[in-house]
Amino acid sequence: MVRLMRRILAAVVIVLVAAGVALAWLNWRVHQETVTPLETLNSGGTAGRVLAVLSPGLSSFPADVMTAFDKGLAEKGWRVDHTTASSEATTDIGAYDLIVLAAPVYFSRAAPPLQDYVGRVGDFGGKQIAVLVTAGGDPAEAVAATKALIAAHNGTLAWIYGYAVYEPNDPDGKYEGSNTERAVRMAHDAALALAGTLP
Amino acid sequence: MTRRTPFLLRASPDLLTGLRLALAPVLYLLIVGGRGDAAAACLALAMVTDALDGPLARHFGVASRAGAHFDFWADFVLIEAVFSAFAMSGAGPWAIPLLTAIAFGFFVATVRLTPAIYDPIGRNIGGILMGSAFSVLALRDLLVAQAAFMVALGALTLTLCARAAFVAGAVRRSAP
Repeated sequence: MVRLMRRILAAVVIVLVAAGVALAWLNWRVHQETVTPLETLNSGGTAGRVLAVLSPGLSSFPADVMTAFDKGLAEKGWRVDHTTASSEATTDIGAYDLIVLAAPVYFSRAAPPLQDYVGRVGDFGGKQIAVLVTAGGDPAEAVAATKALIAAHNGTLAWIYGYAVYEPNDPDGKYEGSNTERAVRMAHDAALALAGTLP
Repeated sequence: MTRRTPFLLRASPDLLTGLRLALAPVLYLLIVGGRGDAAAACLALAMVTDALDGPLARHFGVASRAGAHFDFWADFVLIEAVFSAFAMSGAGPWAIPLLTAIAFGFFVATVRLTPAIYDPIGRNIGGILMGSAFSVLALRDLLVAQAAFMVALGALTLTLCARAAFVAGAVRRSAP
């Protein structure tokens, strides 16, 4: 019995130390910016001009959702300039009709690089902003916090939605595929719908 | 005169192991379907069956090599199902189900060579992997999930390296 307890204790200590080290490293990692050049989707688009800024995070889910959203806008004739949230991403937003922001949620807040980017822009001057956040569980708290962040920087929220990995995204069963595949399809259709409502 | 233990009680360890095996596809579908709360409850139930089946088998005097194998394979199928579902969802790395398959396969292939090694991670690898998966489903935060995936990957890598070292030592000792 004592030997069994010692074995379990050894495993628990190893796991806790490993989890602590992993969390500390990941916390540092999520604060790091990813620098990518500005890429343009549908460069001949005339319906409007979009700046899409993504904080990619630690999995492919945020990028998948944002890419689907960008494609939806491009299909409606918009020109989409896509980049990642970093100190090298443009903050000159004067030429854009819509700003799309996307980020994963960690501890109920959008990823720090996206919050830092919003801070660097400072004043959105009433521009239309669409936000996509991806969370593990219920994204409601992160959505509320991001709404407040946009309002504090003088942005006009055109649309915001939180997609989840471990909560059903499509409770009505309108889409097919896994929960995250449904989220990607929903983001695409949301962009199509939004493109039709913007001036 | 001793009373014979009822069949249902004697069969209870295998029934619990069987229940764990049956929960594997259910867990896969729940995770891929985004039902994190239901998946956490199912995984908790599976972990309880894993904790109980061995002690019950010893208590009722029905512990056997076949039962131990059944327990081992049920753990393997359950862990593969859970981590494959995470990977299918795009939230977890495919490296975990892949390394799990390699680790379990390596264990099966080398168990006769190293019957009595002390490896606290390897001995508890099933529990560590199930615990990691449970923390992902119960806490549902992407950062915690990544930490749990790193712990699972680290534990699998360490136990594979430890086992490889023990096997290499056993082979060297048995060489003429």
